[in-house]
Amino acid sequence: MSTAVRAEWTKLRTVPSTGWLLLTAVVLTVGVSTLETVVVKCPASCSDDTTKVSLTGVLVGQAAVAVLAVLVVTGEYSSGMIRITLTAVPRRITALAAKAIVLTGVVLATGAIAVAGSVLAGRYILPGNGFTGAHGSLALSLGAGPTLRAAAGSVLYLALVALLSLGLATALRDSGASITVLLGLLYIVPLLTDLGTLDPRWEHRLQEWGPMTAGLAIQATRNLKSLPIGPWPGLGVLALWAAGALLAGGLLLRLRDA
Amino acid sequence: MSTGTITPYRSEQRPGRDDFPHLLRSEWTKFRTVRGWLIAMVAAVLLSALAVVAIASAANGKQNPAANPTVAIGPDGEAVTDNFYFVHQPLTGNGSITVRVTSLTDAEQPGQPPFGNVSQPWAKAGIILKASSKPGSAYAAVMATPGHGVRMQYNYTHDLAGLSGTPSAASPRWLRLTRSGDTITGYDSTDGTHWTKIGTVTLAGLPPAVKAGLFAASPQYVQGGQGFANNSGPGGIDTRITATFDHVSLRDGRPGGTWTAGRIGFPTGPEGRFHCTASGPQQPGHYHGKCAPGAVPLSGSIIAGSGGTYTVTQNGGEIGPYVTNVDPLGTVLKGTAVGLLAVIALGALFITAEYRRGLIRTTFAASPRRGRVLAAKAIVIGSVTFVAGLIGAAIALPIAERKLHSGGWASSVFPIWSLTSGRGLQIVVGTAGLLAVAAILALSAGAVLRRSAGAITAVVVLLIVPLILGVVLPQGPADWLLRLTPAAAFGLQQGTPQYSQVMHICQPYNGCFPLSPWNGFLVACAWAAAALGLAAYLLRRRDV
Amino acid sequence: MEATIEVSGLRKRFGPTVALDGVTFTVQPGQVTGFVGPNGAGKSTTMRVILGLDAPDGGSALIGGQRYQSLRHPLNHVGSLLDASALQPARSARNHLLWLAHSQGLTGRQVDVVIGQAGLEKVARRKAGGYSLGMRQRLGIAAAMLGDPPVLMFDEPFNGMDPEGIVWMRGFLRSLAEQGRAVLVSSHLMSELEGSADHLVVVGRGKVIADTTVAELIAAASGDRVSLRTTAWSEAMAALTTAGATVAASDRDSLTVSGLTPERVVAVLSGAGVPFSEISAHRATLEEAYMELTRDAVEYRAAEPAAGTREVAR
Repeated sequence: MSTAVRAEWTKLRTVPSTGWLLLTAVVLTVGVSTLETVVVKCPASCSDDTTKVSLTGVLVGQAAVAVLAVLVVTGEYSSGMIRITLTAVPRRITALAAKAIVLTGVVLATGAIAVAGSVLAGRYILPGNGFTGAHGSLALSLGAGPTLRAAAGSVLYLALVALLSLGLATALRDSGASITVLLGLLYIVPLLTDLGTLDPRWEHRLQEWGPMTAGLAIQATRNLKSLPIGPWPGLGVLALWAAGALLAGGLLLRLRDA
Repeated sequence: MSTGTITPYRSEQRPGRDDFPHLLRSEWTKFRTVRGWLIAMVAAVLLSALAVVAIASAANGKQNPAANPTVAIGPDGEAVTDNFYFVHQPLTGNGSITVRVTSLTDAEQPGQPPFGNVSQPWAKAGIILKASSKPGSAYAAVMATPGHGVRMQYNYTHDLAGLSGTPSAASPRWLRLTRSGDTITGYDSTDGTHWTKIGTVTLAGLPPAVKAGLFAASPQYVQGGQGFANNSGPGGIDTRITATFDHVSLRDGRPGGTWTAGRIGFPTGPEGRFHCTASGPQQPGHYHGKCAPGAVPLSGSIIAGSGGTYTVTQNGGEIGPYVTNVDPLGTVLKGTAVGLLAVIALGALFITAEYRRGLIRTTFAASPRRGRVLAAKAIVIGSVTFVAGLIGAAIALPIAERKLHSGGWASSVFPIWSLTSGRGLQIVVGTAGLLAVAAILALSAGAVLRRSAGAITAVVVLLIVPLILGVVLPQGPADWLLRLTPAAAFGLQQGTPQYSQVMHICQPYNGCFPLSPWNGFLVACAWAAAALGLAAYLLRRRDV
Repeated sequence: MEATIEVSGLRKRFGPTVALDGVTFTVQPGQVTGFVGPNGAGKSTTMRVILGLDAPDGGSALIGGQRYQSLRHPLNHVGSLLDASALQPARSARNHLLWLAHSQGLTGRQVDVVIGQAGLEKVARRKAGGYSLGMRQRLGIAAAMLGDPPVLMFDEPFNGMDPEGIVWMRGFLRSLAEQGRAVLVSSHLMSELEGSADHLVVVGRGKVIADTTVAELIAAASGDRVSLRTTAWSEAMAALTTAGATVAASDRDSLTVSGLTPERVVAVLSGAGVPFSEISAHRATLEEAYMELTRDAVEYRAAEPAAGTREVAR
């Protein structure tokens, strides 16, 4: 296993697109978060969840992480290199697990940078916008429990999105199909539930079980009661999605011809 | 060793032509001969239609108070708000009512900050000719507003502009309404002698005697809220308007007449907010309405001052279209996002698949003018998508509207647009156009990036993510995002009528986009054109 | 571990197509075994099954008595080259070999060794996407040699090689066999294998048609034919046919005579006064032997080129 992991790490770091995609993820996350913190001002939106506001960028940066995870698998299928990989590591589950481990490590590290950048931006910009704690708004501090939970949870969120993508791509083997299904899973649910009045039961159900809407519940530090699902259970829902995708991908990898 | 001669080969085939129509034909052949792509296109449209219908079935209006609110119904069947106090006299036959407005303010006392600390630009005070006191009855009014000058409004949904500026003692506004049969004309003037016609309307079926009077109304100041996980919701602030009228004159066939105080609307609905009854003497003087306990106290007063002046004050009230907070049809139509994703994938694949297999070299060897190849591809994929989208939308729209209507969404508030109506055509053709533009954007992204995953993601981030971000950002930046990105084209799918004369939250949530629908579409087209241009430039420059 | 490949009764279908229909053969160490057959005969499928990539519907494939999946550090046991283009274009050749080495617990030093063996020192750090076909083949060979395995499998390794490369490849394969390794080389071009293969497994339509040494195959195909070179071929033909032989023209001025011994042919021609310059017992080329053998098994045969529009002066 350790040799398989080493091989996957070598593969990942010797291809330039990896670096570009990770950089894009960081830039998108920090950029959108900064944009959000700059425009949110206190007299108008004092009751807003400042932590969640400064972590907004995660919902855009996840796209780059998803693309990276998909390409890790589909790149091998499209070039035919998967056969070489599977002759080098014939135990296919081991090969998939090695990919998962390396991918998770890389995304955790990059996610930590992106989230830290976002939180720092919030910490320095928000007080200038009126969030000084006077109106009951919280100044951001990583020492505070809920904020730490939101930040760490966002890093975990990105890793889980990567694993979900990996599993899906292993099952579908084609980059176009994989990324389409993945982006649909992630973005369509909030599109439908944010934009208006569906049957509240359906709305609640969709938000509770949608991978992105449930997973991002980890970012909330206020009004937790009004969330469709609690922070940690929400992240758990996303973990279930990722596990299911990996299971399906692993099964198909094992059973199919290479 | 050959000692013979071999004559050069001469083809007996007729030479083909490689002009643009033939290029189109070859690209169309490329597309239709990949069975998977044809199936995917059909599936995309079918799935979208299914999703739209499914969401319509899930949009349960029966449990949603916003779906069937207690509203008055206007002369054209639309839902209206018709709540105000006024003093009136009957105007029989042809005649006119004229008034001079010398002040319009929303502060309690001069020099003080406005009531509620906000200034409602669409507060109104002026003269009105109303068919009856039934809420929703026909009317025509000329009024002064703090933020939009003199307006003439009639039958709730129509609004015409007159003189600009706020009336004051130095610069008053004269307002006049003349009735002649079923035709009412509105005039305004700054000096009482030179009148400018604002507009003429014909209100069908006006009774011989209409109520002519002075009125005021001051709708709530509405501010949007945002919330990605329901952190905050929209709120409204009560406002007040006070106007001073003098030189009131009423001319009809009959001289004399007494002013009566009257109330229109403020129905006793389940909301209880406007549960107010008239009390006190029914005559000019201090006039109070009492409101149910817990409701925001609403009152108006019409004080007859010396020398024929009237000071009219009104808290709350509104005469205009009922503007709803939700857009169920617009939400339901977001089901097209399912097909939109598939269409984006197809658009990108149409070119990236060639790069993957090296087929692109064959293509460019056969047709060296690369810009034309790109154009042909764009036309083929755009047209196929447009036609498919047209069919899908034309099928899904009536079904979805029927389901919404039978699900409890009142058609007075949420009109059922027929396929031939302006709005119906906008939705169907607009949806098809949106899909086509998305496909072309994806094609260009595919040509630029040469990898399908990146191209699809880029277009999704430009087209769909702004809608999601638009809910999270505050109003101003959200509007800019929805003006500048191709997501502006989603405005084509607005389901509820839009009125600019009512202050309302303008968010996609409410079916309201910052740009008008076709302007939004133009923005998306501009993006597609720019992307095509970039792709063509890169295609020509790069090695293949 | 004994360096052998044992394939027994392999069966596989892809949908309605039967790819393998009971394939059985053994690859022994110390020799180059050619694996030949027309296009679509099942060669690549067999190799994929041996490597555990495709699952057979029946039968078994063992390497040194073990299934591929149960090998630890499999590249130390079997090196293979299936598809030389199976590369990530953005990755350099050296890095490609590096990750492969890491997967077996090997180091960069081994990578440099095989790069030297394959003659890729100058281009190792270039991106693989820019490689010519021949360079990619050499890279594939290097990858196969990474674990210094006793068993090697190459699928059409001569594809895209220039003449110098072909000569190098032939010598390389021979040296591998001389080192005592078991080498399986698949090809559909006989001329490549002639001179490098010792043993042949011929497949057609998913079945093994022949499993013999090259010498025996050629001998079987040669028969009792005589090769003759003469300028007066029409007279030679007449004389020999009269003598009861069957004559076929195989080249502009050479004939193949069957049915008569070389001495008899000499006698007939001398008696008729027909001059000739060369006479020898015909040795079929591997290509001829193979063509004869697989005539029925060829799946795809192109139409004969249209006649009549060319003029060839004689």
